[in-house]
Amino acid sequence: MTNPSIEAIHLSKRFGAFTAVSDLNLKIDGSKCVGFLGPNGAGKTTTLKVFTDLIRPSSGEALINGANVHTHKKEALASVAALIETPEIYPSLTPREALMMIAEIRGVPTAERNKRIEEAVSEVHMEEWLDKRVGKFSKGMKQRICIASALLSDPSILLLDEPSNGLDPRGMSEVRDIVKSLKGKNRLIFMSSHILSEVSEVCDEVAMIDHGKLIVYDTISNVTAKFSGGENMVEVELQRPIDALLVTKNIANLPGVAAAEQKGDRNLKIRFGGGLDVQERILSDLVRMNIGVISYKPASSELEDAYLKLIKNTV
Amino acid sequence: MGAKTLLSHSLRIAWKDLTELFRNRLGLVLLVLMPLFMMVMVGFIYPSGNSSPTNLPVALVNEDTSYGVFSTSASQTFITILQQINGKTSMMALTNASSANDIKSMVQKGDIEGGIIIPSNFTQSISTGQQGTLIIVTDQSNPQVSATIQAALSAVFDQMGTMLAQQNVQRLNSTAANASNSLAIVKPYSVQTVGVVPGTPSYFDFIAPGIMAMTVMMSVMTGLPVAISQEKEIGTLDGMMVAPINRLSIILGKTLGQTARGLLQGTIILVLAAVLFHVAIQGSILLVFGLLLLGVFSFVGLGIVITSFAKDQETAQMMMMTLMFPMMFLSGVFFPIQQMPWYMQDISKVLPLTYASQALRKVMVLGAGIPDITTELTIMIVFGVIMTAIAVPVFRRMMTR
Repeated sequence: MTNPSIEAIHLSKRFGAFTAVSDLNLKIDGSKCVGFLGPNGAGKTTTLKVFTDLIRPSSGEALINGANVHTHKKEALASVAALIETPEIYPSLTPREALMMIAEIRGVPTAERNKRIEEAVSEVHMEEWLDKRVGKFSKGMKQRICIASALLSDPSILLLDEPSNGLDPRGMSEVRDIVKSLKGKNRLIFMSSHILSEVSEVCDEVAMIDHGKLIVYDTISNVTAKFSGGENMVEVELQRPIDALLVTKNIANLPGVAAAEQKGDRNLKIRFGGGLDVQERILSDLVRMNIGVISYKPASSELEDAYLKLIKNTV
Repeated sequence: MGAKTLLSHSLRIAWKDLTELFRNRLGLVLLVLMPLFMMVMVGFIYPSGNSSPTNLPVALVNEDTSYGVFSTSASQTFITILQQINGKTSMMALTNASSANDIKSMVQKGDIEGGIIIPSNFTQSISTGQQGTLIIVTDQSNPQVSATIQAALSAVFDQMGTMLAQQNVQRLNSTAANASNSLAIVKPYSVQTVGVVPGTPSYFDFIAPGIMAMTVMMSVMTGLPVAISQEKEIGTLDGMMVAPINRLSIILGKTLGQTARGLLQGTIILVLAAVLFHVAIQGSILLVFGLLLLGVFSFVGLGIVITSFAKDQETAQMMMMTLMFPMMFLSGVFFPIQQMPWYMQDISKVLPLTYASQALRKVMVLGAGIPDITTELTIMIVFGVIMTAIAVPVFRRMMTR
């Protein structure tokens, strides 16, 4: 089995005078999850629509597994499942009926359809709703059925357009868990989002786009390292309030630490230069100081820092 | 991906559409009500062939003053006979008016719809061997009613004139002493009207085939764009479009679904027409349905073109209305094409609905077979092929923006 891949070559899309995507070059291959970040109107959805042949590129090409999406649509989309914008399911049908149609047009063999539908629906934990009409479902439930519909043909490439958009916090976290569980199995997931914590939690790599231009495509750790001045950051949570002096004197002067900052009386942010060994040493130093460390983790806002710097730079 | 896949995909989509249709209760009710209303409306409002108007309010003025010198008053005789005839048909509700001006003001008030004036020299004219003139006053604000009154009164006066003439002939000529001979002298020609099929078709027989053709064809021409733009709007269309599916399957499936819906409505109309309005189908019922299907085919192309350009449901609806109205009135569905001025007739000749309703009418009313409608069939097939040939590439292009 070859690696799944998607590739944009000098891809541009103009709507009249407005350029939505501008000379995008991006090649992603292998089994991984890539976050596609950018502000609203950056061209994320447009790019995904070009990759599913919902819109034609003005110039350049979009390839999936080497096949041009527009000229060889069936070949290109055979192993792809996509959720673009806010997909919906026919309200007067049951998930089983709606998925049956999708299964047929996706070429799932007749004998396997029922089995595949039940598997896909159980992957999104909607078994008990399989034969109830979609009309009464909540947004989150519909989104889960949409994800199930994407899983029917066991695609090697998943294109997700803001999969947790419009969901409540619980729905968002459920969708995030589902996407995480879909990783692996020689599957490439390309997921657009503007929720940075979601991307840093779920994805391995990140591509950022603004004003239709690709700004960066790299692993998350490289992006954060590169754009947070070569420093990493950890967030520390303490069981007891800590003396401010202790932070500015002792912790800030630990070997490797560039800066220590108190956030509230039980939280710290520590910047440090270096890799994982430095991170480990700082943790053991903190523990030895007996200040009541109950959690120690890389800061989730690192990606946010990088994002804000990058997006600001382009304006 | 062969034709088989294409077809099975479209059947699945059609099945899905019909399932949705049958689960939509209100939609189903409207599906039956719409043709019912349409039928009842045109069926009862338009006069059927053999019914004549009754109780038209008409005022009568007798200004005849010239009978003084003559033994009998011709106007009194006229009024007596008129009342006798009216007593049988109760066509008019007669009232008396005092003068022509009185009639005018009564028409203006809306009390009457027409008037009869017997002029002052009526008896004198008739008694001196001249024609007696009768004046019919009409309400110009309502041309249709005034035309009806005019026609009805003329027929009555004509009948009365004939009776009078017969009497005169009998008096003059003893060989024409019996009634039928005197009628032969006064009216040498008697007219008998015979249709090519038994029975007297009403206006409804004329209109029912047209409505059927229109409903079925509108279902693809308007239903198709609305169905697809609706899916575009709620976002279910993308779900299909991102699958490796031939776009023809989508359009074909939708067309099949809409056609089934249209044929269902057409059947409802047919049943209602037969049950409520006693429309008889002289020709083959299979041919009727064959024609409806062919009609659908001739319209699919146009429907697909509208679909391709309609961004949302509202646009689709508006485009459909714009096309539907001229089509409805110019295709001879409600009014005979022959009544229209020549330039309108020319327009109606390029509309496929004209041929569909014409062919359907021939089959349903006149019992025509396939050989009798080859012209219509050819035109519909040619139109369908050309429109589809234009529409498919347009659709493929427009679906990927």
